[in-house]
Amino acid sequence: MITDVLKLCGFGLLAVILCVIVRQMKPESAVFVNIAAGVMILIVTVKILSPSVKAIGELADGAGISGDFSEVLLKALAISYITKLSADCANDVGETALGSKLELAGRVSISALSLPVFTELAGLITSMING
Amino acid sequence: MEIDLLFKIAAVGIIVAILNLILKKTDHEEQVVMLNVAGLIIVLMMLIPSIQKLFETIKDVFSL
Repeated sequence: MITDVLKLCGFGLLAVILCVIVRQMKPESAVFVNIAAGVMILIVTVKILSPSVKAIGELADGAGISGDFSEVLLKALAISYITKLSADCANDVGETALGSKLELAGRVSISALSLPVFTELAGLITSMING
Repeated sequence: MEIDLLFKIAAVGIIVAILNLILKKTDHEEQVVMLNVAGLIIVLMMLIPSIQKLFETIKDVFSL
């Protein structure tokens, strides 16, 4: 694991240096270098994350929590990763309006995703109140 | 992690910048636009597979 992190840090530093060099000559290309580095770092990060995701699923199963709930949690995590990446790219280029719209889209889709869980909770509460 | 991809994209950027200068010095303003578009497309063609790989990985890991 530590070698992965070391590799990632070296990669990131190199990408930053490359970005700075290219930005002086051609600012548009620096954006592409930036996006490529971000995507590559995120690929490795998600791969490192995958055992933890499996463990969370197994723990939820062992605790007798319905698989649907942990699935919603993980899907929300994935959506936030993807929207964060793209919104950050947009913000870096200076298109902050587009970036905040992407973030809004992520939030809206996560709330839509968690709607079934929320309705279940609301149903539970109403049944408790009504006795 | 393919560090080559970063170097390739940076190299394309530098080459396009140099060609840009040459074309401007030799009064080929029309070709400058075409050159920039070509550079953009080349870089995008390199970039898109890795973005697709990222999305596939996320799909696999989170079983979307």
